[in-house]
Amino acid sequence: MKDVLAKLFGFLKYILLIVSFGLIFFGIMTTYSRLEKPLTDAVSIFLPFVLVLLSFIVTMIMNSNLYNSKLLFNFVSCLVFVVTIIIGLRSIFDKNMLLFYKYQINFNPTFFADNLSAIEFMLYMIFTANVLLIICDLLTKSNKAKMSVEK
Amino acid sequence: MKEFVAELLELLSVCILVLCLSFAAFLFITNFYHYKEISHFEVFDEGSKIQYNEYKKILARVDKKMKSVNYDAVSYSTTAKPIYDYYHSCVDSLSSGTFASLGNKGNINSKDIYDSNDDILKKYNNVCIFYIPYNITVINKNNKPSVSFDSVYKVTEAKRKIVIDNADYLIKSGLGNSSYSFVTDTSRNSIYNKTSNELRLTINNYKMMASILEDVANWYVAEFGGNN
Repeated sequence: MKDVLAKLFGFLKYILLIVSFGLIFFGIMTTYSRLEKPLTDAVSIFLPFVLVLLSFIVTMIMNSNLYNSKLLFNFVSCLVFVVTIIIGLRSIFDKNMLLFYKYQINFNPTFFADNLSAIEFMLYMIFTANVLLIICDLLTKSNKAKMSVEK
Repeated sequence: MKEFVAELLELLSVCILVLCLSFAAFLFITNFYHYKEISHFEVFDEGSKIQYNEYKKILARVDKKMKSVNYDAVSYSTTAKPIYDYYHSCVDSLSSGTFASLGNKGNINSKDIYDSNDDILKKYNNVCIFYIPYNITVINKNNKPSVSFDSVYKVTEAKRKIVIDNADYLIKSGLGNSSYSFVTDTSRNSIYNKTSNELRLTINNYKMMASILEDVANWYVAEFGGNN
């Protein structure tokens, strides 16, 4: 059951990552076009997404066997992306927030900007945890290889 | 040694993941409660309906007074007639605004209150409560009135400033609903109900606006003859 859930969340996290990145990108483009700022100023906002994607790819290539940790890791990743999607969708569609009407761009940039730092913080935490798991896996694999050679 | 370091790193990563999980869960629940709070509709209660109907009665009285003057007379072509035209534009604007349709709604939300006060700042200030008294003073410079408008103008200006300040405050208060808040039904019913309070303030604001028009109408009837 754990394996099934780990694999399900493991598959889902890639889709949710792409969707959440798309919504954040849309939000940044809408906000920056109103302020007439170049998108290159938003590199620091997209950086955690790129780092998380790279760490996911490295984990996939390494084919890690840490299932117990992976279920927690995949579930937390999915939850973080779901929260990011919720925040993105509310910035675009939640018309009950009156700041939606203030700038007349069919978007609530204030709510979006308020939550952006929280999203980046969670993504950096995901990235850090993933890196630690990769190092942990490398150490475990090298230890096992050493023990099998000794045998 | 390697095993120890690997276990330590795994423990550290689990700690970070648990921290991240708690933070993400907090944001998830906060967004859920915030959405529930700002989607809340307030019933248009009887007390507010009575105040709303009083506003309508004031407007009906003003309309009766303004129409009692025979502004079509030739002698009134540069005085009473243009004032009536300004009043007519104001009434047309009031009848097409958000507040006019509020009486027919059973449920009010923060958007209705925001729009009603936004109309005051963007429309009625220019078309009604500033425009009419100011233009009367301009007309009176060329055509000396028998009944002085100066004292009426001071009163209407003072009331107008109160209306604008109230509308500005209510708009800013409404815009603050994008910030997260935790409001339960218990606190809303027993302590403070933001939507209900702001609705009453908005109705009082419109009543004050109507009283400005009534002050102008009283002077209009006294100056040009008509029924009070």
